[in-house]
Amino acid sequence: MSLTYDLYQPGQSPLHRADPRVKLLLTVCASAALLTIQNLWLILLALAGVHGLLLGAGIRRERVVWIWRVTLPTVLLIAILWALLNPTPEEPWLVWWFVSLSAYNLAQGLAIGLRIAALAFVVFLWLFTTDQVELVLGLVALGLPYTWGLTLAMALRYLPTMGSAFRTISEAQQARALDLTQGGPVRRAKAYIPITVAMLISSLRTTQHVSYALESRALGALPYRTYLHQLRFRPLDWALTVGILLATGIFFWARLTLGLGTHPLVVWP
Amino acid sequence: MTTQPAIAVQGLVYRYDPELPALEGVDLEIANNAYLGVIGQNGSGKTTLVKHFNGLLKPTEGHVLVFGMDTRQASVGQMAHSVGYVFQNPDHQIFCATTREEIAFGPRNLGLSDDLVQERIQDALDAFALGPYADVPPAVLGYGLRRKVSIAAVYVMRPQILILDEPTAGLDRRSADELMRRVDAMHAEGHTIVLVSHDMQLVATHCREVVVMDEGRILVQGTPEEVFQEHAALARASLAPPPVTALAQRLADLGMPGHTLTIESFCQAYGRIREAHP
Amino acid sequence: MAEPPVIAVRGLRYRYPPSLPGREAELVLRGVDLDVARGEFVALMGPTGVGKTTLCLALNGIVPQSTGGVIGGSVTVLGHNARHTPVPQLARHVGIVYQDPESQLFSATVEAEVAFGPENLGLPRAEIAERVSWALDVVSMEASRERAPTRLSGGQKQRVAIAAALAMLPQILILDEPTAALDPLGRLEVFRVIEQLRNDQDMTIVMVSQDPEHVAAFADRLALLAEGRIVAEGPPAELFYALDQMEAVGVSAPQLAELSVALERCYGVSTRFMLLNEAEAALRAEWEPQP
Ligand SMILES: Nc1ncnc2c1ncn2[C@@H]1O[C@H](COP(=O)(O)OP(=O)(O)OP(=O)(O)O)[C@@H](O)[C@H]1O
Ligand SMILES: Nc1ncnc2c1ncn2[C@@H]1O[C@H](COP(=O)(O)OP(=O)(O)OP(=O)(O)O)[C@@H](O)[C@H]1O
Ligand SMILES: [Mg+2]
Ligand SMILES: [Mg+2]
Repeated sequence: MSLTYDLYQPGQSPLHRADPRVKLLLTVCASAALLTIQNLWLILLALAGVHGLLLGAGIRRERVVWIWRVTLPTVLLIAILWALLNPTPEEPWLVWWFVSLSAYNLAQGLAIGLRIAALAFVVFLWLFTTDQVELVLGLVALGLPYTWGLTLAMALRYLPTMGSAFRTISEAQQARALDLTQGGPVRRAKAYIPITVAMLISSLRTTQHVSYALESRALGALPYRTYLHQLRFRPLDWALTVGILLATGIFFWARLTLGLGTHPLVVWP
Repeated sequence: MTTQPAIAVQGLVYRYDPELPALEGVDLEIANNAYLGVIGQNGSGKTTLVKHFNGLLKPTEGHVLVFGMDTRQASVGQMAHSVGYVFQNPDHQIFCATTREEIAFGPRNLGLSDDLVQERIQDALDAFALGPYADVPPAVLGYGLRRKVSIAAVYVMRPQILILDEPTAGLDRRSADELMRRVDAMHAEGHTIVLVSHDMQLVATHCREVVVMDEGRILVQGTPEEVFQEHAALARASLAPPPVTALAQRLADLGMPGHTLTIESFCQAYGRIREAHP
Repeated sequence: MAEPPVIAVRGLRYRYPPSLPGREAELVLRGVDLDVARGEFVALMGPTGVGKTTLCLALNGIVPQSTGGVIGGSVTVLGHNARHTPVPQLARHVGIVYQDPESQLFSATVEAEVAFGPENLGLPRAEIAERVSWALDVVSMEASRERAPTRLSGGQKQRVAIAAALAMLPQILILDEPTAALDPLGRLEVFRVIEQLRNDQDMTIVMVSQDPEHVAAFADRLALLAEGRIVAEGPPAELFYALDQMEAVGVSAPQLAELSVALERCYGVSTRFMLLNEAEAALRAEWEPQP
């Protein structure tokens, strides 16, 4: 079974209990850092780190596999195209027409492809360990209007539901004797046309009904609103914040003055 | 020689989440041409159980055999030739651009002749009074109408085993009666019917056999006459006998049989008692 | 002087916008008149597709404010014109449980779902917490507080939807077939809670239902909707014995009311009954030898 319904996976790990703002800071800093490097070893190190964090937070293995399944095609595509099509500053191993391949290019392609996976992992680390209520509270605490936070949370809540709607409809078709195990790809593709139409109609209706439900539970009736839960910024959160900022500062200092991570294969050029 | 049951469930365990089993060991045989009612409180596992009958769910442990074939070995699409399933939520089932197409989808997949398909579609539209909505997208219809469309779309396939998950929720009396008249007729023609419902009156009136589900297990099984006298089990499963039965049971000291299920049988019993003690 | 009705519907006519371009929708409501007094429990019955849901939506302003379409007549709720008062404003006093349990639950946990309304009402934290616990307790869903609504059974979803509306403690509560997916005990519990809310808070209830047994036992008044109008209204005890009329409209009467009519026809039992206790008393009286 693929990832169904909700992204958040309940748990009691330190990452689960950390303040959502701290996790957001981690996500932003880590993404920024990732975007500035193209060194294969550093990217691999980052991937290993984020895997450690995910598994340490008790996130189930299927979910990790799921992220790989989703990102792998893009990673490979980018890696291959980059490696083959970019001119190389080094002596290439192989030149054929406008295509050339070198260790430098291959590493750079892999690094840039895997960087996408690493970014996805960083974002999912945040989403898997932060429940919807905390997410909204965190964004509101950072000064975002409540409705924006709610909109984001709802989008995150309904995106996976769209995936399950797809499965639901596909099940419904099969329950009425549509046999997808037989027949060629054309038949299969054709079977997906009504699914797409149905998903469109059903998601329109869901959107409409949800907006009725929101309004009729007095969303926006008052200029302010209160919250059942409150965020508490605990000493550990302060420690994490300082740690994240410090690490980011050191990283960027090394990146800008020492050129850390600019070369695909050499960590310190 | 024993005849093969339509559905055989052996040691069925199912878990949506590893920690939370929805079915915890169900054994059940549904004979060919049975008319089985499945009742039980919210969350007791009725939907989970019947979704195994057409292979929508595959057992975590145990086996489900439909006409002797293990559901793990067949795709839902193949199973659907003999098993029709009306979903509890009509919206999980509706996907076509018009009501007519929605109803036509199943029969076309069965490979029936065009004439027969047309005839069946017309019959289904009539049976559920859906004629006026034939060319409207079913998704924009009201709740009760969407439910009717979802039932008609399965009914039209005349499956050998018909599973209905709360078909009358949200239907008015007239539509519910018409639906049950059709279902009874299918049963009379030899089809096997499985009806999940919270409407005890409906189950008492139509089903020949009842299972009570409780926390993922079968609590009691028997004829409606037997089951609706099992007060402890019913209370445990948040159920109650239909009103006429409850009344008859309260009047037991006057000689009213506790297995009275319908108004007709109540009146007959009442007449008999009156004659006996003028 | 008597208090004016909290809900006053006058000559309400309504047509949905066309579902396909160029295809005029039919008039759904064709002149509905309905008054509901404070603290009253009015049950609304009618055949499938007759416009019960549409009428409910007109009471909280979704029709026509969010649905569009063409409307005529007036809907006054607690003195507000429901055609123009913004829905969230009305929602502070008018709660609603929609018919479809699935698409009205949008939160990640059951607790968040139930807290959503009270939070919008700007209540203090302690009170929100109290209401959430109370409402979940009322529908026996305390144990599922942390679960995702998407992963509940059909009836469990409906229970959460009811709790979400109850937690707002509205003056008027509109329920569109709230018990259709509930087990028999769950149904009884919902009706009991409603009874209690009326006694304790003077809450006004409008409920669409296909459950005549409980309507007979709990509602003050029954209104039958057919062909876009209220064709009959009165105490359930008066309407439910008119089996011909119920049949003509296409809705069911309580099984015991039908029994009572049948016993009269066959054996001349003249006492009418439709509740279990009434029936038992009536038949026992019939039995006791006349002095
Ligand atoms: N998709 C799902 N994911 C996780 N748990 C589920 C899911 N669907 C149902 N459950 C759980 O499995 C159990 C059995 O659910 P099921 O839907 O079979 O109950 P049911 O008897 O059909 O109830 P109802 O009368 O309310 O329809 C319940 O505890 C329910 O919360
Ligand atoms: N959004 C909509 N757009 C167009 N037509 C609609 C819409 N919603 C409902 N209708 C139509 O309006 C009529 C009345 O619908 P409504 O849902 O109010 O009936 P109902 O009495 O609640 O029925 P049910 O028993 O199915 O709940 C139906 O014919 C329905 O198809
Ligand atoms: Mg169910
Ligand atoms: Mg309705």
